[in-house]
Amino acid sequence: MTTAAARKPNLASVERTAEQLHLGLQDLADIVGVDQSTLYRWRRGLSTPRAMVAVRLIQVAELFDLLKRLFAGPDPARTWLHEATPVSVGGKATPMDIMRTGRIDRVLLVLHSLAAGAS
Amino acid sequence: MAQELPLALEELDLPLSCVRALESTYATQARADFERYVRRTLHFSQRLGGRFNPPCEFGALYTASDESTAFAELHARFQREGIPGLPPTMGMLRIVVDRARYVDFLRDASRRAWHIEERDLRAESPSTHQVAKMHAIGMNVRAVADLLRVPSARGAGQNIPLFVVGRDEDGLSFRLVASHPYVATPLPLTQRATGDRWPRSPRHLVRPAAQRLRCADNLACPGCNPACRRSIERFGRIVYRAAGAQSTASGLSTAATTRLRARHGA
Repeated sequence: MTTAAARKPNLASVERTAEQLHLGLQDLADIVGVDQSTLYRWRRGLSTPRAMVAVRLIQVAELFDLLKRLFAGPDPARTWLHEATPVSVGGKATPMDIMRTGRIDRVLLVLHSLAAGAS
Repeated sequence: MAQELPLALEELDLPLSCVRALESTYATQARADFERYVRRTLHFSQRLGGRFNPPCEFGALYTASDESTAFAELHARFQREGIPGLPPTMGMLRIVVDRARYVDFLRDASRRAWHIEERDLRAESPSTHQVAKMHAIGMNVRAVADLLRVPSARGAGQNIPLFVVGRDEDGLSFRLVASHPYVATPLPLTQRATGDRWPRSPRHLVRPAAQRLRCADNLACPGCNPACRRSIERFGRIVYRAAGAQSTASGLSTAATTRLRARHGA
């Protein structure tokens, strides 16, 4: 489900949530698929993201929204992102590893499926 | 003489009530547009698979016979995905199946007919062989029936997977009768929040009040507006536990109920 927050990604708000989840600028850049300097230019308003990258940014906002809905606080969400190995996406890689390979959609699928009540 | 096939199929003679635990926002979405919710859920189920549906084959809508079984099953799924517990507040859907053909694996005769044993159905961590067996059963049952009644591996109740896109369009008929967006998760299954908490955004502050207002339109109206009446019939009585002091009859505070009654002359 795409929420209003996810449809209008705000880089500052995404960065705030990323900070709470102990995701560094490099992690965020990896997930979005750009380098740190590009994120810096967007933040300063020196450039705007291209369509493909803007979609990734929307997905990151959607991910953070889902984490807030499914986890009681940033601590368990952070642990899940960095340490868990969800069975339905292979059971070997952590969500962070999966997202670093450009497959944030797979992590979103798992979270949406849980939120929708899959059992 | 024609021999009857040993499929152990049964027809529902009374409507079957089942529940499904889900996250609160999705419960609200299901209430607003149940068809869309079912479509999306089937898509997720098809992509990731489930106990009776192999991944990338077809989707199934998994429900349970009671709330505690629904919570226990969803909790197990959360744990498989590496999440230690359920959020403190969840949603709950109540679905009624009016018409269906089914296989009841609570019965010995049905299990014998389909060559499955109770220990396979109740396995908390099924082996690869057991998983394959249950997937094969799901695929075959789906061709001739609309749902399964299976003993739950975690709760005391039953699992009831609905094969929504199944044998034919007239086979299965089900409807949403109630959607509760705020239900307290049983404590042993709840995630423990440690350390810092999510900041409370304006959206989180506004949402319960907005839902209370919508609830007021739907539930407290004595029936002057046909749209309200339809909503009452569709969703039944809904009580929001997480929204503060409210009367249990309408989900409204006593003052709000009095105001509405005065406005409608009731």
